[in-house]
Amino acid sequence: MGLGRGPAGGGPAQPEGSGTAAVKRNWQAADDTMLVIAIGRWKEEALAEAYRRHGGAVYSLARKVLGEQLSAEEVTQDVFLRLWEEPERFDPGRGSLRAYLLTQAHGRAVDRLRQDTARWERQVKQARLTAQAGYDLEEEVWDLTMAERVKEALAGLSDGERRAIELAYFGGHTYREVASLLQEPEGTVKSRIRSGLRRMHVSLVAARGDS
Amino acid sequence: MDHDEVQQLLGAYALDAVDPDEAEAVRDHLSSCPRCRDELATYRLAAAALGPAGGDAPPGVWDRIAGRLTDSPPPLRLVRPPAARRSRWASWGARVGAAAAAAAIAFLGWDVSHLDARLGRLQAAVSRSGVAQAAGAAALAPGSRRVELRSSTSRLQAVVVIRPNGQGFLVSTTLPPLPPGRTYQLWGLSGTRLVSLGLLGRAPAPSAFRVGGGTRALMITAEPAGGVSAPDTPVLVRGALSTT
Repeated sequence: MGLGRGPAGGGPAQPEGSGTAAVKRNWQAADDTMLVIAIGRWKEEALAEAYRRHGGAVYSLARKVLGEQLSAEEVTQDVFLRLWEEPERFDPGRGSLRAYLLTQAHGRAVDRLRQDTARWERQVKQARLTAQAGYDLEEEVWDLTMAERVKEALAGLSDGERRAIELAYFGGHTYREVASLLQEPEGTVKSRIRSGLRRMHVSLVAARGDS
Repeated sequence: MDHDEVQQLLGAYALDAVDPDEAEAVRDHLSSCPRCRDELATYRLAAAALGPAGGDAPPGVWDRIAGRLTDSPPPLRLVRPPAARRSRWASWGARVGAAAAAAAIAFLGWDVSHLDARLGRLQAAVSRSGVAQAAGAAALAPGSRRVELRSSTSRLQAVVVIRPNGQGFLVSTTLPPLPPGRTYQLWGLSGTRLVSLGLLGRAPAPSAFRVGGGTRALMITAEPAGGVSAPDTPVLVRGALSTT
């Protein structure tokens, strides 16, 4: 009965004993899907374990996009509160919990970025300089935290694809802005982002098959 | 925006790199196009791989998160049919079957907690992958029961297979796709209680759910997206579970 519901007839959740060693050990052994099911039953320890596993990645991505700590922390907080409120939005058939949380974090970070006009203008200015200088992810400190298979997948992209994806994803720019930054037609940038992501996905799936 | 135009935008959309009006048009299309949803999912996975592989969670943030969880778990909600809605419930009762409805109403409402709806939605999501194969296997398994749910005119139908261990599958249905913002919801009548067994989405595909031991009947309603903790609309199809 892996995916069982609550008690027969759907009674209220039973309050959990708070944080005994045994409970903590259990959550650490649970996989991400089981954690989300437990979160669905309002088990705070399961959310704490999900935060322990993925909070760092969520924060780092938000920080990378927003460029400062306070907003990144707020995004992190929002992402995990959303997981608590609506765990059913995570669909394990569509990918890992980490990928889901990072998607949420990215969307929220970009929303904030676009609301903050002054910071947005600074970012565009900076991106323009970087774009002219030849933006290269390989030179980023970020690179250190990236898995080997992801680096390989990125290396398989054309320069145009990689640059468009990086500016959009890390810079929080729309494809129209990326087109203007790179002085290329919007349609070209749009299809480069798509073909680049498709190629990355194929390469990541192949890498997983090898390992 | 037509299918091809949306498809061209899916990469940029996966990176949150489209204008708000484009995002809205894409979302609108996604709600009715499983092919684009699948394609988007692969781009989102590729994009998320660009994110960091690890890193320490910032200290202090967890305390703030934990401090905001005070509302949980929510109290059990006993939703009673309000008097003003009596006619609606009466018609619902006629479709469910007089005896079952009388028993349910005698119970002074629907003992269906908020927790049920939450778990139902979660379980539907968890079960979506590989569910078609599992449903096929269940249909062939010895001891499985096949239950037909029908509307009063038999125009609408749904076929459900239930394994001896209580694992149930919606195998096929003639329920038409609902407009955006609506979802089909599956219910089990257990004793005198109506329990949500999960959401089936706007256009029901094979889905998995779990049926409790005392379940006497299954029914499907059309509800607002996100589901409800007690049915708010007439039952569309229903079928009794033979007790053996």
